[in-house]
Amino acid sequence: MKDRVTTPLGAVTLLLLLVAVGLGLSSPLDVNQGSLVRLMFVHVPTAWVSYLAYGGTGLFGLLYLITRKRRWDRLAMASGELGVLFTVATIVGGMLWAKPTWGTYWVWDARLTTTALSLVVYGGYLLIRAMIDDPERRARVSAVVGIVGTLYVPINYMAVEWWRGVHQTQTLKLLGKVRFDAAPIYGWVLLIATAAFTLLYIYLLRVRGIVAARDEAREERELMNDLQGDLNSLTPQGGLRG
Amino acid sequence: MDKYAVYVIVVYVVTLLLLGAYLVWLAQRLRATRNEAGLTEQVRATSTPGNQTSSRQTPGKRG
Repeated sequence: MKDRVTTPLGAVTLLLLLVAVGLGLSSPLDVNQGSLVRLMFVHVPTAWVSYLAYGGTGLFGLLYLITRKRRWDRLAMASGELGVLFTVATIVGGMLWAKPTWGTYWVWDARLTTTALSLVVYGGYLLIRAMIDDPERRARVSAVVGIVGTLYVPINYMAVEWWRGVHQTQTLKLLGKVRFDAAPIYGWVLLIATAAFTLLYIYLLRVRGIVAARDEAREERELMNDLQGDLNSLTPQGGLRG
Repeated sequence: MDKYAVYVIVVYVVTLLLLGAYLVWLAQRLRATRNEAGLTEQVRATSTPGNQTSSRQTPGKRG
């Protein structure tokens, strides 16, 4: 069946990303941070997508355990991989923001440490997947790890509240009364940038899912070929037709 | 414009390059798996019962 969604989705994503970058780079300067405030429109959306991706890993893993359909397992893997990618982007962007504002690329602040640990959690998730050959067992085990790993997201989000450090508290408060602690124009730009990055996540998830489905089909073909080879070697004439 | 204006653009570029690199890797994987799937389809088509004889002949043996 012809895929009528992926390419248009990619085009819309690219367009919205260009709009977001344009708006981000032309947003007004902040009285304290000057133009450095514009980094918020990349740093916050990448951090949001990493949370979204980790949430996706848990959700898809749960759906796999309920339905036992391999499609959910592939999406869980794709989402976990994207989570790692966006966490790396968050850390790199954050370090480059930290240097001019904090005077250093890295401090062992609670938020930074929990973010780095999330890389360990999801790196471990991907490692476990790579270590298990049996597809069913791999899907089952990694679904459980993915669900447990998702519980780490609220800890990472709340780290700035629970253990105060150099990292600022959330600009957008989601718990209790929702509020945005910055000028409204920044809120609008952030909203558009977040929407653009969310679309990028959906697009990448879709493409990664397609690649994973093809990889899985190849894996099954190879397994069938191996079995066929084993059967052939067992028969006296070296073939099933004897 | 202040002294960090260019620095901010560099950070944008670095972040987008990182995500772009993943997209390029994904596009390469997609192309490779598509070619692989195409080859498999070809093999399957030529190894169906009606085509079995012709698919097993080598060009040199036909003459």
